[in-house]
Amino acid sequence: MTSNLEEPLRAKAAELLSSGKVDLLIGYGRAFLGESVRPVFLRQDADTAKLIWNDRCAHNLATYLMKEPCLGLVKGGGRVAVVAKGCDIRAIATLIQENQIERDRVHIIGMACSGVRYDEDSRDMAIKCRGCEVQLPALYDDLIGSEADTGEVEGEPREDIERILALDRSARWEFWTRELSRCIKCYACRQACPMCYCGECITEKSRPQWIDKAASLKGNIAFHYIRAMHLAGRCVACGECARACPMNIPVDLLSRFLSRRVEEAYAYKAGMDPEADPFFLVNRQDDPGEFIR
Amino acid sequence: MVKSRPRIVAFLCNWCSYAGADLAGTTRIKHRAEVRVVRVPCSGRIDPTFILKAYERGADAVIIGGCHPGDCHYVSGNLHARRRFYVLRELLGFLGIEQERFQVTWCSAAEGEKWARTVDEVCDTIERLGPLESFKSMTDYLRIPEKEISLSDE
Ligand code: SF4
Ligand code: SF4
Repeated sequence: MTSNLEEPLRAKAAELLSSGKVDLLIGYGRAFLGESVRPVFLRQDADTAKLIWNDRCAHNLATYLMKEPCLGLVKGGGRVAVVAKGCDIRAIATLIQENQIERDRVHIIGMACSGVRYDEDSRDMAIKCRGCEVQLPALYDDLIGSEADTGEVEGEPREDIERILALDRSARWEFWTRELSRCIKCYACRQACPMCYCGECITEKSRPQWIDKAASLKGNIAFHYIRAMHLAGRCVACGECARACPMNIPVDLLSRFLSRRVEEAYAYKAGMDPEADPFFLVNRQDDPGEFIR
Repeated sequence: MVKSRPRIVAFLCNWCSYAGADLAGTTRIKHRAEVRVVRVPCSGRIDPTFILKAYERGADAVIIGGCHPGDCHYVSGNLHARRRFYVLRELLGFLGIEQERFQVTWCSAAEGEKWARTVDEVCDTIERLGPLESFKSMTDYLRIPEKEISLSDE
């Protein structure tokens, strides 16, 4: 389904590239099969016909900001434009908060969004879109579309966290060992995540080796344990990790749960304010401490 | 059958709880002996991986000891630790590991008594819960036989 925002998006992209305001533009383009969508990287305004915008544009393109060739540009004084939904912009805001990008190195083309779909033939909205609060982005340089383009996201609300919390302790452990035993440590989840930008990841360090590298249950639990800790208060719930996983593991569940707990206990929600201090960088005298004896 | 004794690993801040534990010793306060202490420069130095490693290597519980808020030798290391361990405790619970197996205490250099009481209480708790089986059942393949440092006395 083509959206009526596609033309205004292409016009804006052409303007940005031809005027030299940006060196590179990351957007969505048509993939080779069916309705699939893939990321495209544009350098000239002649290429903007490749840009598309529809309800298959699920990718969080903020991930590419921290990878080449964008990384060299944003760190080296260039400027990169990103086509981004409200959820993706939360990731960009977090990158700004963490001093990974300067605000004026990235040009955010915010899209009014009415939800995305994952599978080729799926009629359902992606579960991550249910209950979305950022259908109309708040942080952008250009906004394509308006309130009128943010249709209601149908479908049951997401309640996977509640389902785990309803289990008793041993059932939770059983659930996680069953899910995580499938992990083959391809690290697709890490690569897809906009917040996992470390050049060197602790999971691959061997001197000393804190995280067992084997794709055994022990190594997998260690990997997902540290992954969750490193994403607490940073995960923006874009769901890209779970979408990337070839083993159908709900990878985002742990990081989303921790980010939610952080939100409940500290009133801090990742990526809502690019000026805010990152969660783990600061502390307050009156932080929760009831668990300490 | 002989009841297995709990195995507890404690990470204690050099400036407060380590000295507190030392005080418990020098003043001859009796407490349970099943705790192994690792001295760290600050509770803010304790990475979540330390705790994971302890569990993987057979600890039934981990105790973190830091300075009372306001007393940190490095001003705010313990306050950073407080945030980190709040989150870690939530993660353990969500994974299905009893939160009682992860204890944090603010214990100053003068609180030998408090340290002794903490150790006793955690030991009692672990005896009630039993050993932490979650990690013990995991075999790591690719495992090269190595001489492991045994935490048990046997
Ligand atoms: S952990 Fe998953 S859901 Fe969270 S920001 Fe990373 S990719 Fe998105
Ligand atoms: S994408 Fe899935 S299989 Fe690959 S490392 Fe992540 S959780 Fe494991």
